[in-house]
Amino acid sequence: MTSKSDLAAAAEHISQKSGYVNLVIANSGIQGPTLGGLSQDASLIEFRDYLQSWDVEEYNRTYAVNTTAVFSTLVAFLELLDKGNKAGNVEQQSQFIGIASAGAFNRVPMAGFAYAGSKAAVVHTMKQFATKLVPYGIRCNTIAPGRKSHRQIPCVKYTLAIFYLLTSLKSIPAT
Amino acid sequence: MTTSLLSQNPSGVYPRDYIPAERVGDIKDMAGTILFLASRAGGYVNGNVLLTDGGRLSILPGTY
Repeated sequence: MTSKSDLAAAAEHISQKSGYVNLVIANSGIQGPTLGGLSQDASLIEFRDYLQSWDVEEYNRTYAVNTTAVFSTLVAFLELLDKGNKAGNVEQQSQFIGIASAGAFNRVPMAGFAYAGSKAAVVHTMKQFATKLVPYGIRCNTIAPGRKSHRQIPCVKYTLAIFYLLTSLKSIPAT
Repeated sequence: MTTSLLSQNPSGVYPRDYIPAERVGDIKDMAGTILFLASRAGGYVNGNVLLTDGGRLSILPGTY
């Protein structure tokens, strides 16, 4: 998801296969550096040293996957979402869904500062796109899940299943 | 992503004063939310943030 060319290739593949999409869900995420190794009664200096030990690259990578890649995915699929509207196979307008986290709103850093910040950024970016995509008739929403019993792969499979279901439907009964 | 956090509590049962639903969210919670948004039922939803956290931000300090 962090590679623009890979995303473009995915969009091109779907373009060849179905020609449009009605829904795109950006579901990937990584945890980034956490406070897990810090004791509850750490002194300020221990706390400072622990934060200072975090690798900047790892911190930035959290934003690259959790925030920037969501943006890049949306951009890569805009044309296919537009074509989904034009296909008229479903009643509702095309939609992009960004998966954030309850961590975007939680002041207690359960995962870490990079994770929460990157997810808060997703929430706001999705709101901005909801506004910016109005003239194009594409909706944009966010899901902020609480900590799941983590099943990344089935979750991805599930979203992909919906994705393919919606792209393969030619018509939806009116009732 | 959150596997290491979960392993801190393998029982899966959480106190109500941390997660009012007393459990973590699972794939069914996620699937239902996505189905709602994806279907005609959620067709009027735009620019929204759906928080599915078992109520924990009603307990923990947050900004939602």
